[in-house]
Amino acid sequence: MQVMLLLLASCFSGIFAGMGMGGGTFLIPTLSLFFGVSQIICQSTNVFCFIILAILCSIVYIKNKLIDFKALLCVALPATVVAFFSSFFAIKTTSEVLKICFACFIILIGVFYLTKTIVIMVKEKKNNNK
Amino acid sequence: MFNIIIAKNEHSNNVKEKTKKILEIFELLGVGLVAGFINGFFGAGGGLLLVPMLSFAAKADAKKAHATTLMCVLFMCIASSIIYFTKGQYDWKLILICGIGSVIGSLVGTKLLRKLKNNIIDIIFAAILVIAGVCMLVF
Repeated sequence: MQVMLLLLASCFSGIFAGMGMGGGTFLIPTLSLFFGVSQIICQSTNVFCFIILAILCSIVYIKNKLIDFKALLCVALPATVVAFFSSFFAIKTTSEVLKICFACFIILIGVFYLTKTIVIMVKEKKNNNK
Repeated sequence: MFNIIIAKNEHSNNVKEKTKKILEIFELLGVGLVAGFINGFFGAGGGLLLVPMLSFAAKADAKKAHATTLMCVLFMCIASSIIYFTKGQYDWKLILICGIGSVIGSLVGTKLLRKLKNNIIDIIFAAILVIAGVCMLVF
């Protein structure tokens, strides 16, 4: 039963990921809130799942020449180095503190997206009225 | 005299373009540092930041920004996975189940994107994030 629920939850996160909305920000709270998984295991699960998914998508994107290699080099190089060290830092942090930080982070992202979308909707409405 | 003025203008334009390019590279490096920290520390969220940042800093169109972001996050995740793996912080059973679910879900999501993508879905997603965040703080 739990396996089916996990499949369903990850399927939903995959749907969000497929729509370009960030599946991890959905999967991590789901695993933490409904399945009682510790924050660090939630994070590692999301990271490993993303690798599987991203390798499959990257092949398609490279074939379709959708990668901006200059931007990739400039961003991925510092990002990878920093991600390596900040993951190490995350492991050293307690799961409780990580959970609180993560919660604040997704609230901020949520508020940002809400504001951005509402602004776009208002602009669209104004343009339609003109 | 006229030729000198034209040459001077060309030279200043070249300098401006070079400065612009250098600034763009620094912007991208900065974006990488921020996204790397977020993705490494939280194990997620790098992509959410990178897509708008890349669109702004690299002036990439939406499709290119998404594709490039995905590859950037892939590298970050590989770096993080090395740490999680060496420190034994993983659950293979959970990864396998969630991996299968995520792949199936993303295939559905990609198809739904063409049909459903609109502002209402963005609002639902943002609301879910806020509610989930508050629940994580409370429970």
